[in-house]
Amino acid sequence: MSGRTVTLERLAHYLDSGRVPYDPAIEDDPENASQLATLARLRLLSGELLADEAAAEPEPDVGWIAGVMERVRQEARSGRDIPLDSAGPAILHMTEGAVRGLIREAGDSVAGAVVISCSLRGDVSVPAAPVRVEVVISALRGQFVPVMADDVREAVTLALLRQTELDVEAVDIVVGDVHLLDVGATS
Amino acid sequence: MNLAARPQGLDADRGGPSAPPPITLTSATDGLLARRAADGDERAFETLLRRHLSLMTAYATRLTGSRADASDAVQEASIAIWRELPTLTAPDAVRGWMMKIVSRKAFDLIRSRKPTADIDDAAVVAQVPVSDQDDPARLALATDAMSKLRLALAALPDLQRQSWLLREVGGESYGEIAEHLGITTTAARGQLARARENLTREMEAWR
Repeated sequence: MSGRTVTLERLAHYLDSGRVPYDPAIEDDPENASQLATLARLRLLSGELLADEAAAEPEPDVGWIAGVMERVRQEARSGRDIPLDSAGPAILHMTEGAVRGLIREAGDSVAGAVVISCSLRGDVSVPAAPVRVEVVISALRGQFVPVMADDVREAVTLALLRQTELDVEAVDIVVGDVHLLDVGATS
Repeated sequence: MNLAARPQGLDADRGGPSAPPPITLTSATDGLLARRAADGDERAFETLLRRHLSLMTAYATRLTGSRADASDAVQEASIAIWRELPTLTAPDAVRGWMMKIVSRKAFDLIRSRKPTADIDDAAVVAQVPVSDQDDPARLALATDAMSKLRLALAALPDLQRQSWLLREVGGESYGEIAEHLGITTTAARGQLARARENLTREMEAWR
């Protein structure tokens, strides 16, 4: 405690900055360098401690997860109402959220593609108004992207045609990124 | 769409035709799941939640010192995460962002339980939230240093331990820590400084 010229706070900030730029007052002083090493080890160990305790957590309770998901569904972002059966006397609606679910499902069914997001442009709440659909996808690396994009466009168009009454003017596919299969993904 | 795409056929070692397996959400990255969930996909949200739930729970248990409180805090955090996902600007860093929401909800809970003015950190004796004695296998797995850190953390006053965890595990700023603990930024800095002093002193003694 005697010869310490640098506070632990300063050492911690230096560590936060990734030890850049090089600070000779810290690095070249044996006591400060030793304190810095201790702090770095403590930081690492604290993260490991949490990871260790997380690994020891029991499997999540089924009822707990179900409870959370129930509340999530209550707060679902369902978006606009889209009319169905416009010719009939009764006015039926499908939510925009449900249509987006359809689009995701259709896009995901194409090998190597994952839908990231999608949007419906146009006045979907007015029957027969033209709508443009934009689907952002992530493509599996190694797949031939133009073909995949065409397949996604086709699958999405077909799904919308079959299950909605939207007048789809165009389905635009945007490749947002390229992903790798994370085979060793730990859950 | 003029992406530099490569024709398929790279995975010849698997034999068989090169149609890739369908992509399941469990193999998707955090960033992808976060963006899907922000777009309203409940399944992607559930996958993301399940992936990080144990860490969220362990973190909340450490912060609240109670498994029951941790469960409640993580539940509230989960709903808040779902609600706030559309505002997340860096989906690839979703895990750290989720942990900040966990700490926020943990301290909301602590504050609602504590009537007032219990900020005398020296008076509060910290309890070890998770007992190693219950599980010899786990104790054997944990490194010696880790066990000692566990003890050293348990010996710290609440505010010091919480400041340390918020900073070193949660990556939170002094201002954020102060807000959680209901103290001034200067006081939060002081708590953290004392936590560092105490822990490094302990650590040096281990050598």
